[in-house]
Amino acid sequence: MSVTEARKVTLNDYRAETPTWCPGCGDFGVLRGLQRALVDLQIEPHRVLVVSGIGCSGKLSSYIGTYGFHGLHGRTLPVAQAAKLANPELTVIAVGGDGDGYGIGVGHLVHAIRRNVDVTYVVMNNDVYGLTVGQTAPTTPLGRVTRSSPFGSSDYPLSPLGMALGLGASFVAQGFSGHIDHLAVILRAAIQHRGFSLVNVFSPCVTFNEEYGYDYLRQRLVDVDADASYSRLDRMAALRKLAETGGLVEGILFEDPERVAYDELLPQYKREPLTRQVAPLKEEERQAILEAFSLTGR
Amino acid sequence: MKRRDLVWQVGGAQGEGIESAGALFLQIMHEQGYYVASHRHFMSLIKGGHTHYQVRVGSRPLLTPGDRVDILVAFDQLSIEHDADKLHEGSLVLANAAKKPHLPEGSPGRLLPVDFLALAKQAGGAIMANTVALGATGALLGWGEEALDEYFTSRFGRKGDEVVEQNRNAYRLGWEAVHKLGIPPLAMPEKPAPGRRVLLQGDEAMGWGSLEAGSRLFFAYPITPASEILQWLAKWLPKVGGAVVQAEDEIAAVNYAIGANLAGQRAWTATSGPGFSLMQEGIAIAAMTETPVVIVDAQRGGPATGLPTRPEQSDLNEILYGSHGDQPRIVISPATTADAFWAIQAAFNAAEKYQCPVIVAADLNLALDVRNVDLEELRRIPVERGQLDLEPGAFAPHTYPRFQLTDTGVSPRVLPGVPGKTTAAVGDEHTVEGHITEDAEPRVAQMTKRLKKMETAAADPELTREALWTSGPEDADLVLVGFAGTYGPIEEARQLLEAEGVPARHVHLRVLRPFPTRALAAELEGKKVLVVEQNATGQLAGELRRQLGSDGFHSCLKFDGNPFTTAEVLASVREVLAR
Ligand SMILES: Cc1ncc(C[n+]2csc(CCOP(=O)(O)OP(=O)(O)O)c2C)c(N)n1
Ligand code: SF4
Repeated sequence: MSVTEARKVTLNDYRAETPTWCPGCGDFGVLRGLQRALVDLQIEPHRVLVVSGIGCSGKLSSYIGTYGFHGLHGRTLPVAQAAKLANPELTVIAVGGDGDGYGIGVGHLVHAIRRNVDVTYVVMNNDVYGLTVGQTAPTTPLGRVTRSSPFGSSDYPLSPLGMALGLGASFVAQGFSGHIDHLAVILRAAIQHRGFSLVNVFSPCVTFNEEYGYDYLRQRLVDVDADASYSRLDRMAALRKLAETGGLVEGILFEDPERVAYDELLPQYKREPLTRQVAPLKEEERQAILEAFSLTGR
Repeated sequence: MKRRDLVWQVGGAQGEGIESAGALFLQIMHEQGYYVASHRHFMSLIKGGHTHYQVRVGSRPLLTPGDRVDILVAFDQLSIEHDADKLHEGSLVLANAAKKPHLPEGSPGRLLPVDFLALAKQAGGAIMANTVALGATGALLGWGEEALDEYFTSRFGRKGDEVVEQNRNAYRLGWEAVHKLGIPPLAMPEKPAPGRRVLLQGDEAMGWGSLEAGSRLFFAYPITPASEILQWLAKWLPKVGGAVVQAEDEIAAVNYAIGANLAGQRAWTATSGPGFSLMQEGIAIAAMTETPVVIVDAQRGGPATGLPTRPEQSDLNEILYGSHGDQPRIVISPATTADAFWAIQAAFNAAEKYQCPVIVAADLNLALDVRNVDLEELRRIPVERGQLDLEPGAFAPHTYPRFQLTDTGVSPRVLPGVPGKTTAAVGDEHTVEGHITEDAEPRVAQMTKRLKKMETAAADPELTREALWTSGPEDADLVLVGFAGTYGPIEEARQLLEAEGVPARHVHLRVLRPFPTRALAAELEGKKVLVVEQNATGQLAGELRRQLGSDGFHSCLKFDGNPFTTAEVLASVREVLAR
C-alpha cells in the first residue's frame, strides 16, 4: 500500500466504536494499554490487524481503530498467524479472554508457541467467563463458587505462563490492566519481539468476579521489570519466579531472542505481501511442474 | 484382432510393493503412448490386508478403470477371490505358485502359477517379486525380453548398476517362466495418435490448479484422500514463493485459510468427512464476515471413520446444508481428474467475487485415481478477484462502509494495509460499517444482502454455463444424473446404451450452489430420471426433489466401499426401463 506522509500517530487515530463493557471492567485498561503501545511505536493503524475471539474481551477489535476481525470463540490464533504469513508487513495482534485462549482455543496456543509466527497474543484474563455471565474458566481457582460451580470449582486452574514457558515460548509476559503505563511498555516489547509473544493480562471482571479485583492484584503483584537482579533470559528463573509468587508477577518474565521466527524457517518463502502474487504461474514455473509429472510428447 | 483396451491388475497384501508395481505398469503404458486409467483399492492399515491396483490401457480416452480384468497378477489367493467376478473366459491369472493358488469353482479364465518369490531371490532378492511379475506380464503381452531395460535404468539408476541389473534379471526370469508356456500373447490395444498427455490424480490437479489460480498458501491436516494435495503442495509451493502449513487440526486449518484470505491472499484447505465436520463453524464465520475461503471435501465412506480408504458421496447434505444459520455458499463439483484443475480455479474466482465460502465437492475416486489426460483438457481460466477496494481513503476509523448495501449483495472488499479505511469484520450481526448490532433493521438488511449474493451468482454466466455437463440426445426419455467421481461409469454406461440403440442422456452436476434449478428442470421435465450416487440414502435425489419440487426419481445407490462399475449402472438402467 502507498506510503503515507509522515504524520505523528496519536491516540485519536486508534479510537473507534464506544466500548460497551461494564463500567470499571479491566478490558478498558487493556484497550488503553494496547493503543498506547501502538502510538508509542508510531505504527499507523491501517498497518495493524487485531484478531479477537468471543467474549467480552473479544469486542476489543471493534474499539480500536485498526483493521479488525472478530472471529470464532477460541480461534484467534490460526486467523492471526495466517494473516501475518499472507501479509508480513502487517502488525498482527490476537486478543481474547482466558476462556477463549486457555479453554476452547488452548490447542491453537500450544501450536502457535511451537510455530513462533510473529504474532502478539494478549489474553485478557479475568478468571471467569464474562460474556456468558459468570461460569468457571480454566483459570478459576479450585473451590471458587461460580454459576457453573455452585459448590465450588473442582478443577485445578491452569497456569498459562508455566505452560507457555514449558512449551518453549519465545516471549512470555504478564500485565495488569490497573497498571496501564507498565502494560503499555510490556506490550510494546511484545509487539517488537520477532516471534510469538504471549502477554497474559489480569483484567478484572467487576461484575462476575469481585474476589479477584483491582485491590487484590495491586496488593500482591510482584514486578520483575523493576527487579535488577532478575534476568528475563533465563527460562528456569522465570519458572521459579512463577512458583514463588503463585503466578502473581508482572512484567516481562522471559524472552528468547534466539528462537527463529517461523517465516525464516520456510524454504524460499517470499517475505512480502502475498497479495501482490495473486497471479497464475509464470511460464517457467508451469513448465517445471509439467516436467516433473510424467509427460508424453515432450 | 486388435483390442480397444486391456485391463491389468495386480493384487496382494499391503506392504508387499503392490502399489509400486501398479504405478510402474501404469507409467510404462502411459509413456508408451496409451491412454490409461487406474484405481487403487487399499485399506486403512499399513501391512497385510488386501490391496490391488487396476490399470486400464486403451486407444481412446478412458472413462473408467474397467469392469473386467484381462490379466490378473495375484500374489495371494485372496487377490484371486476378491476379484474373481472380474474374470472372463479369456482372462489370464498369473498367480503366486508358492501359495497353492486355484481359481474359485466355476470361475472362468486360466490360471498360470509362477513362483514370483523364488525367481526374485534368484535374481538377487525377494523385493524384486514385483519385477518378476512384470516380466511374466510382458511375456503375456508379447513384449520382448529386454523391453523394460531402459525403464530400470531410469528408475533405479540412482541406486546403482547392481540394482538395475538385478531388476533386469528379475524381469527376464519372470518373462522366461511364462514365455516357455507357449501361450499366444494377448494383443495390445492399438496405440492412439501421439499427444502431450500428463499422468496425474485429481488431488494433484487441484494442487496445480490452485497455483494457476494464484494461491500461495495452503493449510491442512492430513486425511485420506486429501493428503496428496498437502504433500504435492508441500513440494511445490516453496518453489513458487508460497508455503504450506500443516495445521494442528481442521478447525485451525479452515481458520488459517480464512485469516490468509482476510489479509488478501488466496488460501485454501482440503479435507474429508471427519475434518469437514470440524470446519462447519469456520464456514459460518467466513460467510458472516464475507471473507472468501475455498474448502475441498474429498468425500470418503462415512460416518465417523467409516470406510476411510473407500469412495463414497455421503457428505453431500453436509456440503450443501452444513453449518449453522442462513448462509450464502457456492458449491463446485469436478466431474473428472482434468476437471478438478478447473474446479479449484473456478472456486477461487467465485470465493473472491462473492466473498463467501466455496466448497469443492470431490470424492475419493476423483482425488486419488491416477490417469493420463490430454494437456488441452487442463483448462486455465483467468484470475478474477472480484471487487477489491485498495484505494487509500480518509475515513475515520471504522466508518468505512465495508458492508454497504448493493444491488448485487456484493460490497467492495478492502484489505488490511489500505490507509484511511480501517474496518472491523465481526461475526456478530453488524451495520454497514461493521459495527455490532442487534437491531432488527440492519439485521434484516445485512442478512438479505448476504443471501442476495446467491441470486447474483445464480445469474453469473461463469457459473451457469458450467453448471451441467450433458451428453446424449436431448430428447432421450431416460436421464442419468450424478455428481463428482461417478462421471466415468455413468458416461460409459450411457455410451454402451447408445451403441445398443437405447438413447439416454447424462446430466452431471458441476455447480450445486447456486443450484441450477432452471437448467436442470428443463433437462428432467417429463423424463425417466435415474440418479446415480455413492451413498445409502440418495442425498442427491433428495436434493433434486427439494429443489425441483418434483418426485418420481429412481435411485441407483452404492455404499459398499467400492466404486461403481459400469455394469452396475447398466443393470440399474435396465431395471428402470423394465418398469
Ligand atoms: C463454540 C462456542 N461455544 C460457546 C460459545 C459461548 N461463549 C461466548 S463467550 C464465552 C466465554 C467467554 O469467556 P472468556 O473467553 O473468558 O471471555 P470474557 O467474556 O471473560 O472476556 C462462551 C463460552 C461460543 N460463542 N462459541
Ligand atoms: S461482565 Fe465482566 S468482563 Fe464482561 S464487560 Fe462486564 S466486567 Fe467486563
